[in-house]
Amino acid sequence: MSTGNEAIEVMRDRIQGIRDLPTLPTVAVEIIGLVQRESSSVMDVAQVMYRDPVLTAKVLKLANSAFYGLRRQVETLNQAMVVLGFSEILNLVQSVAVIQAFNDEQFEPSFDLAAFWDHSVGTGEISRALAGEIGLRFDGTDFTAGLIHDIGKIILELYFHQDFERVLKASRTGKTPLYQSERKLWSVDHTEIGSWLAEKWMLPVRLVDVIRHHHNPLNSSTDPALVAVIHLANTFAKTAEIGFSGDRVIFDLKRDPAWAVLKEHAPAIEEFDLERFTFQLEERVDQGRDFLRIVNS
Amino acid sequence: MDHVRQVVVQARQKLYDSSGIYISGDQLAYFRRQIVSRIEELHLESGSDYLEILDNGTEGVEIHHLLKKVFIGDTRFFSHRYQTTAIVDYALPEIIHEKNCETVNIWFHGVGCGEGVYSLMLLLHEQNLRYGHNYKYNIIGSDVDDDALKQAEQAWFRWSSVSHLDEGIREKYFSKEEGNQHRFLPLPGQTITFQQLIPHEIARWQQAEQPDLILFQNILMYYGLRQRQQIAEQLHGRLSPSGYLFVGPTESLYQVTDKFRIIHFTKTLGYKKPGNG
Repeated sequence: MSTGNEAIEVMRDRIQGIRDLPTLPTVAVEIIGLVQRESSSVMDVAQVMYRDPVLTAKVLKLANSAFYGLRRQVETLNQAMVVLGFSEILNLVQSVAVIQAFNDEQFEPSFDLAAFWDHSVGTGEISRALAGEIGLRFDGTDFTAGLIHDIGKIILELYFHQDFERVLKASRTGKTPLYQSERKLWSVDHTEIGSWLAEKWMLPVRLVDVIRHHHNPLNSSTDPALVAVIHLANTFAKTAEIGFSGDRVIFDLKRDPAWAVLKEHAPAIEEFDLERFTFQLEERVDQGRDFLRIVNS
Repeated sequence: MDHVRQVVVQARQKLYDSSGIYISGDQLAYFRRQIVSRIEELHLESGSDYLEILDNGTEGVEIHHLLKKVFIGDTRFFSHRYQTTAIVDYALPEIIHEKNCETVNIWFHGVGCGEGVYSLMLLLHEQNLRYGHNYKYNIIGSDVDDDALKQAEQAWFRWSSVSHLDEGIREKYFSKEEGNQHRFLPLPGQTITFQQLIPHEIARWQQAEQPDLILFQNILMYYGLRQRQQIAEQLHGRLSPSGYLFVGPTESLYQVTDKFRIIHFTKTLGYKKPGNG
């Protein structure tokens, strides 16, 4: 019988051995790499992005959408980078690239990819709203992190479909969190698996950290406030039943581990009108849904 | 944003600030129709005039009028499905577990003609059957409106209140009476008594048993902040430790009281009184 660590290694090897693991478009990979180099300029990024006219068009369309609510039309990438900032553009590129790495045809008919993304954009949008309410700024990383936090579930669904179905059922009937049911079977859960994929894709460390710790924000070493925001946004999205997340939760914000983290980083959370925020969840997600519509158009 | 939408959004904010009631997205189209109809009734020239009345009308009279327009007529079984599910599936089992008891006392204020309280009783009975439990529920239903209470006590319902229910459920829990009326049948292990109560007289109200669960739905919204705070204080005092309070599904106790823990259930909130321990 293998120990927990051995089982994790076995799972890691199985995933790394998958030949057709989804990849990000070349241009997106180059941009992500460029941005992580301090010497890169706005012009360098724009030059690479222009090589992918579809990606460029989507980024411009998103920049001009209700998602940002800009007053003036943005017509070029350079303009977009000036108006929205380098970080927002990088986040847009990453979000578009990750969404486009998957399509319906890859999945069993029983898996609802649209519902999966609905929960993901819901989490992204709620993260943005929550961060705004409590006075935290993440320059767009909150939305992207929310969008991709559950990417490990896609890998489980794609390559371990039957076992994942069993795990989902076990969670439903036992009313246990999905990640706990996953750990029972594989000794590892979608957070770890998602973080392996994010590392393989060479996504920024902050995003990898969110994916890895979004169920345990206290374990984050890179950006605990961001991880705590995503953790809560994910929990809010689940209680509001936004899209498919695989499980249900009941929670008390003030007893959640994220509360302690956010109280330290954003004292405004003490004055936060939690009830109103909760009543508004469904409406807030609509902008995120527009985002998805544009990416998939 | 078009003008009417602006008026609707601002009216929603005013309503929330003055009553703690939030008009959620799925109620917004209905809310808009009520505002347009109110503007017509009052022969106003524009939505801005209506906002002015909401702001400066006598002692919140127009706010009350609007609230009644929006909330009266909500008379069907299971109209607050998520809240009822949260109570039956989570809150009550938790109370039973924490108190280690077999009998639960429930106080449901704002029963109106009874659809909500009988929906709860029906689900509690189903839950007992499903899990082979023998839990008993003593329920007090109260309301300001004596006429509505009399109707609730009779447990007779119009077709429109039950038409959306599964036929099996209708046959199991109702007897069909003259004129397509449906009468809710008594259930084993559950008692319900009705009493008239005016919320700001709670302090003087005698209750034999301390309730473990209080439902106090869409009532606080008719009071000013100070009265809401007093009523919430009294509800907290009456509720047994570890008990739950459920207000209207989009009603908020923000700035009214911080004595309860806010628990998020699927699409609904509950307020839990901390236990003694």
